[in-house]
Amino acid sequence: MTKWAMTADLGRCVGCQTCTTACRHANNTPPGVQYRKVLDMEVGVFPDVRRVFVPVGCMHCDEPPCRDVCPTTATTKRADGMVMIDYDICIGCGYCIIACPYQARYKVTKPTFAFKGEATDNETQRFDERLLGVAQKCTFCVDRIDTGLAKGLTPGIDPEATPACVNSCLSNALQFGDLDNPDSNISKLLKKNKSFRMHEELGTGPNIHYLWETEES
Amino acid sequence: MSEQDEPEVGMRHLGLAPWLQTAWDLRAAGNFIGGGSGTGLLILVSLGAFRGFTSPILLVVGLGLVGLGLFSVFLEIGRPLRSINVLRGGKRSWMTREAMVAGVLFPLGAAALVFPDLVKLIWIPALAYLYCQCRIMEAAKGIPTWRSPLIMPLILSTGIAEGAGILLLLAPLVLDGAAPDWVAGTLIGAVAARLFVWMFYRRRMVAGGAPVQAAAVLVAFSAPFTLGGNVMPVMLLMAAGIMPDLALAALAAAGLTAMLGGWALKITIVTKAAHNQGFAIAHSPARGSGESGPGFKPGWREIPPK
Repeated sequence: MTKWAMTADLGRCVGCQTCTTACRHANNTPPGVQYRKVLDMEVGVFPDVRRVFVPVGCMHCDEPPCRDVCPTTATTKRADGMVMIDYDICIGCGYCIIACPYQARYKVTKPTFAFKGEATDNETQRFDERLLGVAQKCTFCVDRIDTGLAKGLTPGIDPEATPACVNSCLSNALQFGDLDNPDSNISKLLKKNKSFRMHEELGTGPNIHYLWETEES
Repeated sequence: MSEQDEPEVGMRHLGLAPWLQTAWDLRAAGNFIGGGSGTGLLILVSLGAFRGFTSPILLVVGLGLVGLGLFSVFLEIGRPLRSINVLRGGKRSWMTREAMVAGVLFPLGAAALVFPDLVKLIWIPALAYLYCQCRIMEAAKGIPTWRSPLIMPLILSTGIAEGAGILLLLAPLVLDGAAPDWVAGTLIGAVAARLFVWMFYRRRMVAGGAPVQAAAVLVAFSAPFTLGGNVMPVMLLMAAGIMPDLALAALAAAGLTAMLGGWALKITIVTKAAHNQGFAIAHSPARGSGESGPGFKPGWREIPPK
């Protein structure tokens, strides 16, 4: 089996937001919608204060609460672990937005563009009306992965088959790969380093693993 | 572009700490209000039929409230023309199950208007509908004040309290005389249960079960809800017992305050104390040759380790 997952090395992330920008470019998301974003946390009390940058987004959970509440079956989980939305079935009830403890889902009811009411040529060309009035979120760039696999490429290794955010990461903080393959890049990272998952106590089984103590540190 | 110029600022990333969800507003609260009050009333009318209590008008009112609740939530969905798709998710979704139960409740209610004996069956789908509403809230893992296991007894008890309240309120208008005595007794029992659960619920949320801001909303709501929505109806019921001349008005007022208390409770929980989970890290990373540090959960009360 294959189980796609991501690692985010908190020691490496510099909060440059390049992944955020790459994601917005790759998915043509409107203002206010950020499938991938990097949180800027200030942790501790003076003088022991540290700054932590935390990439977040859809965690493609093992037990996704968004899927469990969806009344239309628009939200599904693929055999390879990715949580998907069928935009043609979703009714936009917003229940999944509320059920997600990672605030990873969005609903846009009218066309919005970066420069107020005027769409750029790129926005016009890539505008997808199916996304209006329904839930939307990170797909792990499923099109790139599926196309890449069809070409015999390896997601997480070959850029053409890898999510845009991971490709763009200038510090290699973000990695993508097959968790079920013990020889994959992320399996090795998780084996060698200490990691945690966000809100793990909720039992969702999130699939973004945060490395917090690595061999480099 | 300034923030004011950006459309739909409500869905922007608002920071690290939990923020108030905007996906469900008063229209969603309307579903819980109409569904809870309507099914509460239908349950009492149905069970009352075993004691010879009949009122087709109250039956219609109960069904109407449930229908208004469903219409209210229909106004909230992004693609209303596809709303039939709501029936596809019965395997997992309590929202689908609610819709399916509604598909039984309304035909049965309509049939009961023609064949009055069928009223005795209505409590079954009405209770199932109310149960579905409880589970809808409980399944919302992203909202700590909703996913509490105590939300189920709270929504159930307030539904019955609201139904009994409406029955007392409307009795002078639709019944020959006052409502049967058991309605006041039911109201006292339901209000007492609601208040009892509320105290535990609020306590648990304040003790770290909910983000600080959501807990603060519940704390601010607690006194007016306790006094106005729970103590007041019981006092009015006592006044009705002591002063028979004013009994009809006091019973109606007791019903009104119990009903409004339940509605206020739902509006508060659904639209005001509905902060999301926010973000958290279990550890701060080690950078370079430095040491790793503690975790961080902004917007939540820090609970000292045991």
